[in-house]
Amino acid sequence: MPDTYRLVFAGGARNHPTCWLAVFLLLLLGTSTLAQPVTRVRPPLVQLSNGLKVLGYEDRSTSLVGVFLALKVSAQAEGEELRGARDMIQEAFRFRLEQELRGDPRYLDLTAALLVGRGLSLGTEWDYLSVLSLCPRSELRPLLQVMGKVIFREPLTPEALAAARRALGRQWLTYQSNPAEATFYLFRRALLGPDVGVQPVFADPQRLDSFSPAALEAFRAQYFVAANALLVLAGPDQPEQLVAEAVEAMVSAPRRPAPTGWPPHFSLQPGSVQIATSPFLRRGEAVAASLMVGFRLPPAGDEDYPAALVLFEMLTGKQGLLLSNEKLREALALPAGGCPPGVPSPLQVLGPLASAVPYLAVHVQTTPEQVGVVHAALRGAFGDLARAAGDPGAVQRAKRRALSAQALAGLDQSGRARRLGEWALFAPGWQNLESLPRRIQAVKTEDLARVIKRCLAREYVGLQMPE
Amino acid sequence: MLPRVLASAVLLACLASPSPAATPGPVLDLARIQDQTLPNGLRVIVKSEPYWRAVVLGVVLRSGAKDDPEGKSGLAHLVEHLLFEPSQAGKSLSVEVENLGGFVNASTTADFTQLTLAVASQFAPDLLPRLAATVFGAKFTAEQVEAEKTIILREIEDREATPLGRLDNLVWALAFTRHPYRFPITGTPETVSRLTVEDVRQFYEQHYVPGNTALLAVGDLDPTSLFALSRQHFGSYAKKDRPPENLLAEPEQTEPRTQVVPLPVGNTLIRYAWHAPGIADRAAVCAMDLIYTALDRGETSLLNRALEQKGLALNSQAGFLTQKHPGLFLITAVVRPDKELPAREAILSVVRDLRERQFSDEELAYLKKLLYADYAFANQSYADQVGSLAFYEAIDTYKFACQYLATAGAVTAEQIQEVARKYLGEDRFTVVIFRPQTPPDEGREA
Repeated sequence: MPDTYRLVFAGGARNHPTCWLAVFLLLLLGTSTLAQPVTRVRPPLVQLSNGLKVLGYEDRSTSLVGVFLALKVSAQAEGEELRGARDMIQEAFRFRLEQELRGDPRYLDLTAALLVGRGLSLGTEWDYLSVLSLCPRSELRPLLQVMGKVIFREPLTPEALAAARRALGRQWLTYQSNPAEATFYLFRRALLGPDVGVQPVFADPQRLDSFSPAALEAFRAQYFVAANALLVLAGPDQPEQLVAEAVEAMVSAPRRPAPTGWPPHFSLQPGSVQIATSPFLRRGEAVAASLMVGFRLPPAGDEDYPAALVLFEMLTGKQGLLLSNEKLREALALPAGGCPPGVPSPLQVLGPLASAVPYLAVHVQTTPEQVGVVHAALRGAFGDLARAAGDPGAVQRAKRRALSAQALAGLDQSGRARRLGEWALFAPGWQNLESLPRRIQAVKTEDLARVIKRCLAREYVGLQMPE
Repeated sequence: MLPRVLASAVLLACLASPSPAATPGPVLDLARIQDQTLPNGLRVIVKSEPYWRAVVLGVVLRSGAKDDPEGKSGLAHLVEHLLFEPSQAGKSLSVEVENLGGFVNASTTADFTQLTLAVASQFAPDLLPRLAATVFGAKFTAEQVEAEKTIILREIEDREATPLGRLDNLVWALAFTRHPYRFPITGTPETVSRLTVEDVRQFYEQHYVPGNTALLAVGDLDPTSLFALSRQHFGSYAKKDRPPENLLAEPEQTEPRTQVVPLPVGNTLIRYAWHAPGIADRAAVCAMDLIYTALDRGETSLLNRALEQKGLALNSQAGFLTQKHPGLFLITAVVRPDKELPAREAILSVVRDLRERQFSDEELAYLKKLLYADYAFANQSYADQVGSLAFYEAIDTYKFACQYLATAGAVTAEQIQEVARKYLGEDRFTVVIFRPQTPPDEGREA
């Protein structure tokens, strides 16, 4: 009998065969006595013979299956010569996936889903690429077969690459005219240093035109391999059945070695400010400035991660430290409690997202004259964290918000597939997700103080002023 | 590494099971839903989903804008806004939910009012007393009412400033002559300005009563516990039903109604409306949904083929919302001014075709697949599911949310044609047209 796949858990369980047997038997019996995080059962993570890791998660709350495929290829892997190549390959995949899925009567339900505007979403994140899809259970195998063919087997066609260039040309215009995007890039450069992996996800059309098909194909052959991918299936069936679909559809993807160098590593940087100018911050007489201020946070597997989540929640929400700060509200002309529904706010809080280097950042749009005042007010709000860490009411509130954030990330099937995938990528070992709610609840004042000292001592700033 | 024999056993276990069924499963499975009615009349509906530790709670009242007293349109909507104001206990529901990291939404439609909130499941039991107090124990002051009216007047102004918002108000006002569906849900500046705290209190006391209310929950909670908590926190409110509905029936429309409005717009905006079936005729609303799907959904839709693909419209869409009472079926198009007449002819020709010919078996099967996909995707989150269950519970019974696809699946091509003939008649439409401003031409056309 071929050794088609094996059960994999990163971390402690790997070295204890009896524990594996217990988990396997518990899985078959459909019960679990393991500690329960946002999910009630530890879903099995299986590795196929070609290296693809598959996680099957039973969820019968909807008739649809959430499909999350992640490819562990970061912006750092592109190097300077191929900056933007990941995004271009993703767009080529999008073109081919839609071409394959539309119009074929085998996929009529999924085709129908695409026609109703849902069902397929491709993302280029800093640290990985993702394909997120939803399909009726009956369409899962055809969908996975198409994904396996397009992503792992067939070469990039000139037609697909041409379509990708057109799509990215349009996106480039949108990116250029959105100052917040460019400010975010400046912040990221401050946070991570002058690393090749810090470049914007988008590349300008001229650069894209310079890529040779051979170079793109070589890049693709190195990184877009089954052994470099994770597939999560969350749907209305037993985990083994979901995994079996992946085996049927994906096991014929070629076996190629996984590249090294993931997750990307970024050295801790001294605090810094990156400044640029933008013509898009001037519209007639009106001028604006775009400021992003933030901090590096511990990674998802770090013992301080739960405390970092609590600190983030202490800043956010209508009663959080940002909107409670009178000086900040005054500087931004914000009413108490923030802008009413439907009114865009000049203040956005970002993080902590699933990534190799989580961060916490506040983006603000203000006038050039107010930049100094706003920055000082933000520093004041961050400074309030130390005081608030000793306030049991504030800490309790933040813990509850952190717990809800974990739960509400999975209110829909595709969100659940994504969330499980992100954890499998960035938090080594299932026990990290299992124990997270308990560790959030156990956070103490001294833990918060330690993270404040560890993370908030270095401030990273991106600032764009009008040209 | 797992021993080879176990790897093989796992492989066998997976492959031994039967291959997945070819037909899609139920979108909302009635077998997974439980309900109870408390002695005071409140209905509790629970879909327990233990897979992820989140819960969405909903409260739906079977009263909406249609229940606004004469001359007081916008009252139901104003009361819904006020529910977020500080209650007797001094902290509003929305602040409490926000402090728990959840979110709250509320909305008023013509037929019902709905509150939805989402939190981690461990916090849901703690919210029930607050939710009960918000729904049945709220108090209002004149100051709160005046402050909220200001916000609503701004909302009305914003809506009227958009062509589509203004168009929508005009179409319903023209299509209905007696039924309260003719009034905008938000009310008008005149009616809202006149509303008082006494109006608010009276509406609240009459309509926010257990007999007019359902509590819904989808997510990680145990139904038995929720029923017990509901009895504890909602059951203490006195049994009371809402006043009987006393709405003027809309007489049958027997001739076209047209209104042309010149506006400073670049293109012409056209909306046609026909009176449509209400939920009392379930087969007819399903047939109408299939008609809507044929006209609107997908690149091969009938409207797209007749209008966009022939260069007659920049954009077209159909619309149909199932309502408690007969509502409207809508077709909207944005066209260049010189294409107005041919576009209007094309729209009426598409509708005529629905009356004169039946869909083939293949066409009907495709429409039903599109409808299935649309419904499945519209119910993939816990919040969506609360929304669907609440929607049908408000106008009929939540069970129809589970039976909907089966009912639609049973509709025949003959039935669709019958519905088209009955409702989408040649001379039974209302049309409102926004034309780019030219020398004065305002007023009703014959």
